[in-house]
Order: sequence, then C-alpha cells, then structure tokens
Amino acid sequence: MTGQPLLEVDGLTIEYGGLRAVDRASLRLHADQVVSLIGPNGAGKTSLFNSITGYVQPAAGRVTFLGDDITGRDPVRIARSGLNRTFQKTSFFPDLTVWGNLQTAALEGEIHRGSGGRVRSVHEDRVQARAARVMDLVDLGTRRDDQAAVLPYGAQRRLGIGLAVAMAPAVLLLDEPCAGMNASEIQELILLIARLRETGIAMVVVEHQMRFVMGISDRVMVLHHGQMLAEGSPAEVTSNPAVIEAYLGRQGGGQ
Amino acid sequence: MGRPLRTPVMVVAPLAIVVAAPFVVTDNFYMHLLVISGIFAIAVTGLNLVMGYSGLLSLGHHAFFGIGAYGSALAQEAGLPLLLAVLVGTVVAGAASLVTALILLRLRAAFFVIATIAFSEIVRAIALNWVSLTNGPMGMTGVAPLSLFGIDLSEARMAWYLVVAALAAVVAIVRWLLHSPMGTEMVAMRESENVARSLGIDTGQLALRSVVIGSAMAGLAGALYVHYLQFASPDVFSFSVMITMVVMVLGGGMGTLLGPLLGAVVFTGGPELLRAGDDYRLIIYGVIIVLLVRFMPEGVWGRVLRRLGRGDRPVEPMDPGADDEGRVGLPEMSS
Repeated sequence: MTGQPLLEVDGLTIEYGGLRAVDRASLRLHADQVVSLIGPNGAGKTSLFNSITGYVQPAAGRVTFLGDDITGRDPVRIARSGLNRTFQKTSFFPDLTVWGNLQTAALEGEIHRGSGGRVRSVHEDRVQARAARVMDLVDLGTRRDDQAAVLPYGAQRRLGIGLAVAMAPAVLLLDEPCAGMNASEIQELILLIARLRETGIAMVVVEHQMRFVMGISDRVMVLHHGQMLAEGSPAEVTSNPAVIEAYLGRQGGGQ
Repeated sequence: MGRPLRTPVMVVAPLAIVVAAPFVVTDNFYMHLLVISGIFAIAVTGLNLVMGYSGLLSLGHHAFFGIGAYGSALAQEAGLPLLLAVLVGTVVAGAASLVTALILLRLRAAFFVIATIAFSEIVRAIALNWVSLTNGPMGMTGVAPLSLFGIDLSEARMAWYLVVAALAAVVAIVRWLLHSPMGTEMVAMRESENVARSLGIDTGQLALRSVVIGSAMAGLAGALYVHYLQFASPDVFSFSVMITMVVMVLGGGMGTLLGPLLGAVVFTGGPELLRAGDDYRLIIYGVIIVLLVRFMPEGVWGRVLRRLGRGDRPVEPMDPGADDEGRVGLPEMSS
C-alpha cells in the first residue's frame, strides 16, 4: 500500500492506574482499506479505540489522522473531523425512531460550523436527503418509523453503524459490530461493510467473529495482553502459530 | 425545522380560554390559584427543558426561582422600574446558573443531582442569614405589585393576563429551540451522551446552554411570583417547592411541551381542592402521586399523546442511579 495512511497510530500506550492496558500499539490504515483488530477479551482493543477517538488519554504514543496529530484531542472535535466510531453496547438513541436517529446524525453531518463550533448554517433538505441515503445504505427503509429500542438486534447494529456513516467519515471504527448476531445477520453485515467500502470509507473493526473478519479484512492485527502479537493478511494471521496458541485455539478457525 | 400549526383551532381555542378565564372564574381564590399555576407553569417549562429534553436531573431549580424572586425584589427596591426589575431577576438567575453549572456539570449522574441540592441549600442559608440584604427569615415586605405601563395588575384577574403572556413567550421559546438544531441535540444528549458526543455534539456546551435558559425561565417565574404576592419569603428556597415542580413535570408529562403546563394547574389546584380532606390532605396527595408514577409514568399529557400516537414522545422518569453514563460519560471500558 502506497501513500500516506489516513490513520496512523504510533506506539500508543494506555494505562489505568498501575495496569497497562495497551502497550506501544501501532496501526496504519490506508484509503479503501479494512483492518480488523482481533484478540481475546481484555486484550486492549476497545481501549485502543477509546484512545484513538479521544475518550481515554493515552500515557504515551501518537495518533495521526489525515496528517493531523489528534492525540488526546476532545472526542467531539475528533468526531467532527471525519473519524467516527460505534460502541460495543448501545450505539443509537433508543427512544427515537429509526428515522429520528438518522435525522439527528444527518443533521450533525450537515451542520456547517464557524469558529468555536457555532452553528453557521444547515440545509434542511440536505439533512433529509442524507438521512434517506444512509437509511437505504443500512437497509432500514422498512423500519423507518419503528422505535430503535424495539428493533431486532441486527437492525440495531446496522442503525448504530448508520449513525456514524451519516457523519460522512473518512475513517470508521466499528467496535464488535457482530456481537450477539445470528448467522444471517452476520452475512447482511458483511454485505453492508462491502457497500460502505464502495462509498470510500476506510474501516478499523474490532471483532471476535472470525468468519466475519475473514470476509471483510484486507489486513488483520492481533492484540494480546495489550501488545501487537501479529499482523498480516487474514490467511497469514490465522496460520500464525503464536496467534493460534494465544487466541484462536489449537483447532484454529475461531468461534 | 418549523412545524406549521395544525389548525387555527390550536391558536384560537387556548386564546379564547385565556381571555375568558377571569370572566368565568368569578371566585377570587380560584383566580389566584390560576395565576399561581401560570407562574409555576413558566418555572416548570424551564425545568422540563433541563430535565425532560436535556436529561439533566437538577434538583436545584427552585433556587433559581428564588434568586429571580429576590433579585427582582431587590432591584425594584433599589429604584428600578418593575419591568426592568423583573428582567434583572431573570438575568441574575441565568447568570447564577451559568456559574453553578460550570462547576456542577463536571460531576457525574448521582453526584450532580446531590450537588444541585447542596447548591440550593447554600442559597437558602444565604437568604435566611444575610439579614441586612434579605431581611432573613422575616422576608421582604412591601415589594411593588405587578403593573405594566402604569396599569395596575395587582389583582389576580389582571395579573393573569401578564402571567399568561409571559408563559406564552416562554413556551414559544422552548418550541422554537426544540425545532432548531439545539433541540435535536438536546434530545440526543438525553438519549445517550456517549453516542451524541460520537456524532460531534458538544454535550458540555449544550448542557450549559440548556441549564442557563431553563434557570432564567425559573428566575422570570420567581420575579413574577414575588411581585404578584408583594412579598419575598425564604420559603421559596425550601425543598418542597422543588418536589412540587418535579411532580408537575412528571405528572403532566416530562419531555412534552404542554404536559408540564397541565401539571402546574393540576398540582397547584389539586392540593387546595383536597383541603376538604383536612388532616388527610397530604396523605391523599401522596397516594395520588405514587399511583401516578406507578401507573402513568409518562404523565397525563404524555399518556394522551401516546394514545393519539403522536411523535412528541414523552420520556419516563429517569433513575439517576441506573444511569451508567453519567454527566461526562466515558464509553464502555471493557476491551
């Protein structure tokens, strides 16, 4: 892969009191790429996401996004700059309808801000158009007026991704998008990721579901006890003896 | 995102009721209750903005009502004309809330709630003990009555029109805010602060604005209250005033525009109408509140809207203990 990476994490270290959750982790994400981050529970994957997106201050290291050093920057500013994320748990507004959710995110995506973050202008029809476009993309048109809290799990996950996508991100970080999904929902999600790629969004995905990881990733990175254990193509990583020992299990193939 | 008024009936009917009320309600005491309801409706519309739409459970709202009351009484005593004094009360309440919120909004869920109570107790202690300024427990007597451009509005049936005009202005402001980007962002913050921030919504700024606007409304209500009663009493800082306001918002319908107005009328008039029950009055009142929260948590107006299937979704009472996100929330820390 040539050219400057969109997102570059260099030697990032995260500590909670005396516990080092992430130890000098590095990551490079280029345009049009999907990189997956795998590793056992407690490996530091979500901590890494939290630190990249400004929710947790790193103890050391640097995060560069589109050539800017964004280390330790406020999450709101990071979100406005085109680096967006979903959360492991709720990633949507439960009491609002699907359309209400998407409208809110589309509004934020369309707001033009002046200095100090003040709203300068927003075009109502563009907000509607953007929300409609994203609703099609995440395939929730038939659920438009349903309250988000009562949607099936898979649809809730797609809605959460839709909210982040409505911000028109250059880079999207997805935190365990498959958690709790059944096989057909995972298949739908693989197709969604492919559609997102076509729109030019590069992604970093934290996921345990190996079939999903294999289906979407250009590269896979393995985090173990806060350290990068391995990195390579999906095939390389799954055949790496250290990875098999630490994470995949002796039989290989994952969950 | 303006929404056209559905029918002229929505404007004409309330207007007719407002104009006719003093002619229909001939009993002075009931007219007085209506004025007090209107004043509280202003205060709880502000509280609803903070609690119902922004999702911040502040139990110090009555302190800003009291600050508005004393602020206006003192400004008028210092020689300002009444209208300007009311404005001073409103602005001072807003400014006090800005300073307070800058400090308290750093706290997380339950701590924020407790700190707001502590703040209101501090203000109450000041009102009781700074005798040279506030006349302490005796309160300030001789506060100028309500008037407008030389017209005496001290009587309930005249004060009614002024109070309703102020209420209409306050409701219009909230309605306008709700249909602006700020309204959308407030609801997003109420629903999930983390998700809101991940979409670039500056929840810190938003909470601050919402608290200041809501508290200024409480201040306006307090100012009208003090001039209507012509007496500033430190009782306005008592916690029971806060409880009454919360009951008005919850009982009417938190997170709906008109619910708290209905709540203000019901829970100002209700306790008075129960006077026939004498000693059992407060017990009956308590039971009604418990039943309401148990069987109609979305409030009276909230229930009506839900039945009608309207989009103005009310929210159920929040449990600060169960809010795992807190004021300045952190995302899930598991990895």
